[in-house]
Amino acid sequence: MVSGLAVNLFVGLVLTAVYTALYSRHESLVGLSRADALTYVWVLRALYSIFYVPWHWTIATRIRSGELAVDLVRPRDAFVSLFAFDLGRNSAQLVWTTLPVLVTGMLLLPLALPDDVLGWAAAPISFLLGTVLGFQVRFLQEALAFATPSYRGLGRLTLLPLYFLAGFIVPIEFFPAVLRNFAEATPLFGLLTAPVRVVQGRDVAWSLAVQLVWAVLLGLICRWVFSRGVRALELAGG
Amino acid sequence: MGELRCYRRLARAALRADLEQPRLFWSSVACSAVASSLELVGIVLLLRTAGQIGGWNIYEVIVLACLTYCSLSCHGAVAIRIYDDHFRQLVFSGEFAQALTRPLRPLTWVCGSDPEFRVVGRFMVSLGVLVWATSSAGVRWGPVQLGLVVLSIGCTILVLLSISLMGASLALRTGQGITFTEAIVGSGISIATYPAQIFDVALRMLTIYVLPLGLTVYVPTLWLLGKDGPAFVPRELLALVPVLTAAFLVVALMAWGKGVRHYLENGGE
Amino acid sequence: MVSGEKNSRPVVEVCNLRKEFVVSKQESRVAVAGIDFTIQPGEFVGYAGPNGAGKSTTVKILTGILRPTVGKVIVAGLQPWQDYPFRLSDWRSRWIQWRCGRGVRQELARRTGVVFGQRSSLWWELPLRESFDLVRDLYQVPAEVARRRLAALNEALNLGPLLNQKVSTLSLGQRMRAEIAAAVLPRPAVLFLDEPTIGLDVEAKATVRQVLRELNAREGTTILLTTHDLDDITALCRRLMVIDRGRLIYDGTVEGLRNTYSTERVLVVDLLDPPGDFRVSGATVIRAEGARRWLSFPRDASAAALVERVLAAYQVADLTLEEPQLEDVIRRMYRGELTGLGEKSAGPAR
Repeated sequence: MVSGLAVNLFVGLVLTAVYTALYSRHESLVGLSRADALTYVWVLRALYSIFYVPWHWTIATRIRSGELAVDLVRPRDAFVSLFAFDLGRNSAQLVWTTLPVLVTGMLLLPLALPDDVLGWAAAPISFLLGTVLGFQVRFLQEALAFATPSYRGLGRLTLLPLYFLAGFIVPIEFFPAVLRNFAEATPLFGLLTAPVRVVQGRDVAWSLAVQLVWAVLLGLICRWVFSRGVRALELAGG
Repeated sequence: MGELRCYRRLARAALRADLEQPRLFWSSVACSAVASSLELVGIVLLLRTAGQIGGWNIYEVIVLACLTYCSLSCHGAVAIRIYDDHFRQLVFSGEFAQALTRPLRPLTWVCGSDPEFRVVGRFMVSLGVLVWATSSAGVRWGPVQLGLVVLSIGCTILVLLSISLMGASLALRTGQGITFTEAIVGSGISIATYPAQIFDVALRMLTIYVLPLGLTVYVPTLWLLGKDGPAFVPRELLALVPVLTAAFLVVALMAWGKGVRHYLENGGE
Repeated sequence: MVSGEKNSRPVVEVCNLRKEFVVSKQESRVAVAGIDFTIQPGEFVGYAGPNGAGKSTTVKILTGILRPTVGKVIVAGLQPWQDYPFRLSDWRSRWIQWRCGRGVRQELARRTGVVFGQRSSLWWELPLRESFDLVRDLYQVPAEVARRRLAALNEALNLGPLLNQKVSTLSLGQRMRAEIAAAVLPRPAVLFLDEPTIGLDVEAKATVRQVLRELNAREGTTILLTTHDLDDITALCRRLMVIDRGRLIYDGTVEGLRNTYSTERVLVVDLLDPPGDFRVSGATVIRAEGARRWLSFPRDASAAALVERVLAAYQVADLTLEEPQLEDVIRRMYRGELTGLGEKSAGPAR
């Protein structure tokens, strides 16, 4: 975990240099000020470990190996357990990686930060919602394992465009208009862009609302996919 | 050279094994190509609006990025098995001990028995874009330019390989879970993708002299594009590229040797 | 390296072998505490011992993947580890030893075959044929020699129909036969087997044993079989070495062990009402489970007289007379009840 923190800090510094250089001849680009851009960098690195988790494909492997059957026999709701497990592990990440990275960024650099107490309060809520959405997006990919043994290949193929649309490579404000509007309409918006905007203090209420709505909707969809998948497994005899 | 022949033989067998599952293999190749493309698209999107970075235009930055990605992909192909978790798994499962009972150097066996061929996707995309970007940047291709590209990619691969060797050596000696290679390579690549003049002096020195990834990618690119370097990174450093690479590699091989000796001493306990 | 060549010199020579693992700055764990043995060409030696006794440590040293602390080891005419004191402070000799050591290790690998019961050394996703081709190329076996050898091995091990199958689709028994074939393809001077029959069904075990028996009998391959399966040993090995806590507590023939032990027979008594203290003169209780007692008594003594004594003193439901099992001997050896049985260890007895 320490090395993860160190890498995120280091890359944060590198990207800071990149964006500073980009803004050397402009006050603002695509509606973002330099401070906004730096906030993007540091929230990105802060949340990076939340989405690129080392336990990414464990659910899928459990589905294919039949171990999931064990979870289904337990008295607790299997899907909720998976969710709680993921959230629990990510909480540690939130504390040990996200927080230090964000604080470092805030202390070292002129980031765009929330103006008022409400804004500051909104930030952790937004991060939490982003974490939930992250689990749901990952789960839907892992659920491919219900349908096919080549889930990993398919999953990886879809993962990259998804994360690209979510703004992990560049802020979605830099996208051409059509693509940007499309990205904002997907739940991917809630993964990274919404938390970034909340910290920047832009469209706070709207971003939170969108995150919440998607979290609920995706939650239902995931739930449904899970039960359908489980039924298919049972029919096939595990 | 017997070792090289054995390596090729093992790698050929591994490729045949990969091709036994064509759907998985080719989708992985596509995946790798897509990853590379998206990263390049990201750079394009940034520079499209900003116009320049550190005085370099979009094509020039893309050249730098493509050289980095080409090297990264080749390195990934060769060294995937000595990477962090892969290598720890190898040692833990007893496969490393088994490798020592083969009439080959353990490194040859480990790297040769399962290269990651899917990164050819990333390589082809990066190479293609490199060719396009260099022409758009006004580079006229000749033997010198080819030599510079080969030098750059070759040396970068060796530097990355050295990092992986040092990480693997640590794994052999401590047996603990540190994500050394991934961390260092990831950090190094992130710097090497952008021109050195945008970084402050400390980072610049780090990437040129300590972890020579910047040196092996940036300096040849200066010559390729006919540019001058910033403070502390003059064009003349080109002569240093093979020298520092070789020195780095020697240190890495020594570390690897120490790691193997430690393993032989303790039987992987 | 054909095993028949060295008729006069042993294939494996171990002299005063000792291995200490450094656990911390003050502590070290002795895995092998000074053992000596030699293996002549063509021998089929079993190597047994409880877990943690030092079996795998010994074999690792012999196959060149673990450096001994002290001791002389010669395998297939090579000395993979030069004799040297525990902590080498002379950098130059360490450097020389390492450089030469590497070349020697590779040559040793070429001259020895290793089969692990639990780890495959074949190429999983490729047809079996390709694994053999790879072994041929990596061990630099001339093509014509390899072709003839493979033909012979395929026939002996009945691998013909399997050659075009992917190794991952072979059954465990089939795979084990293939592993043995791959290991002996380069005609190693000595073959090290580690639990080759583990997990195999009865039929497959019999086949593998037959294969090994033939390899040893027809080709004179020297074999060291490390195993927990004593049936393997009884079926295959003329000679047995037993190691316990780093010392060789037995090195002799299997027959010798049994004959020595069969100075005793066992009477199994099922008591109706098991008392707390069950004693019979002229016999020793070696085992007790529920109402059953195992009595060991000298072979020359009369079984009938013992039975009489038992019946006179206790209420008995049933009796059986047992000939001694090798397993019991070994178990008792592990428990330290049978010291002094042809010991070959260098140090004093436990």
